[in-house]
Amino acid sequence: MEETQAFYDFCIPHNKDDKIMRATLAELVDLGYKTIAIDQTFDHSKKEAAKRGTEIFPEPQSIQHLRKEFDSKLKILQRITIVYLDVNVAHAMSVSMNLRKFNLIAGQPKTDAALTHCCTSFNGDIITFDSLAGSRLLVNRKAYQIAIRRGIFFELKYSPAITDSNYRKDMIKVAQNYCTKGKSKNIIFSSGAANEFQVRSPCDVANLAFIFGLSEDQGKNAVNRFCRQLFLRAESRRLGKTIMFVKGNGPIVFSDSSSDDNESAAEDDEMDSMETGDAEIEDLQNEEESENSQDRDRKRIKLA
Amino acid sequence: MIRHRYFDVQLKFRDLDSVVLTPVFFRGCVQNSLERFFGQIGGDTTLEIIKFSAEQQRVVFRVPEEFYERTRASITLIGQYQEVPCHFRVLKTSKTPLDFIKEGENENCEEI
Repeated sequence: MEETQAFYDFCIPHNKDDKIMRATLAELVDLGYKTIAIDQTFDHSKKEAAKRGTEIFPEPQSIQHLRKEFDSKLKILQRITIVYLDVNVAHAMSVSMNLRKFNLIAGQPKTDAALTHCCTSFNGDIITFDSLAGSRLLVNRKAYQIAIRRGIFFELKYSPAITDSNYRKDMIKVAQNYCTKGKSKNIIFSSGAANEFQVRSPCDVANLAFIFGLSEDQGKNAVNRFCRQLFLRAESRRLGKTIMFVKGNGPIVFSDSSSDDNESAAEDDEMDSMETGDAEIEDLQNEEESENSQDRDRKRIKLA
Repeated sequence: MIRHRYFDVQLKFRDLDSVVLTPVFFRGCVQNSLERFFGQIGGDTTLEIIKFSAEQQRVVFRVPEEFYERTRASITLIGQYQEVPCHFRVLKTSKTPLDFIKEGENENCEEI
């Protein structure tokens, strides 16, 4: 199983300037993050209708040099955010080979129909929202419950809230909607940080639960346990169904029957000291033993 | 008796030379942030700075216990100080007084 460690930040937008990326990653390491995902955005709504079966999704950006540099300090995953308007994206996703190279797939719907599709049928891991258009799309209760049952997580990015007060209002509105429609289940926090000064420490991020309507535990899980669950689900989606063989290592040892009798007697003694009903169980066991001995006797007589 | 919560905060700026870092300006920045996020109630938070070091870029201050969550959220969401990108990181919080002074560095701190 893939090992990952707390804390998690699953949205660091990819920047072509390596200097900014390195500074951001160094800051993340300094703050205590151990697993992050570098995000690429792909806008399906702006793509012209392509032939069926053609690859429209981009390949993951090359980040081997960053992985090498932060080898023991940070586990760097790759994520793609698909911005889309309608359900036509589903077919393109099913035939894409490039999508399988990403560790995480996020959907960013731009319409209500796309949001419903995202909750019910989208073959991804995360539902995120555009900080510019986010407050216009509010998920309904049924779609939210379906998404939770499918194991999809809703993402809240905090760095837009740091930069602009309008984004902050939208974010709080969306978070409160999650609270009223679904009790803020399956929520993860991520930064969406464009530079090192937009990243916050995991403890500070967990405390933002106060303004987003989450409980203290939900806030802590949003940067830790839920992210781990999300990662495992994403890996299982990526790898598909697998077959597992269990192989014994060493000789197979059967337990000794006399030792079994002693153990059952010891168990009887323990049960005597418990509540009423134990006497009945003992009687049943005695009956079974007597029946077994009678069976053995009958067999001996037959053989004779 | 009012119970207080103590914060130990580290300040980080993109360009330290272009900001004027004093206890008064820091206090004003945090209270402004509280007022923006939580309105008049947030603005009424009584923030008392206990220790301040411009050289270490570190502050210890306290707020009443009831304002703890609001203050922490406000500090997290501060993105600019005097229009310079910044990051205020809460290192530690406690119900007892905090002190970041190490031995031999007392002269760099102002005790307010």
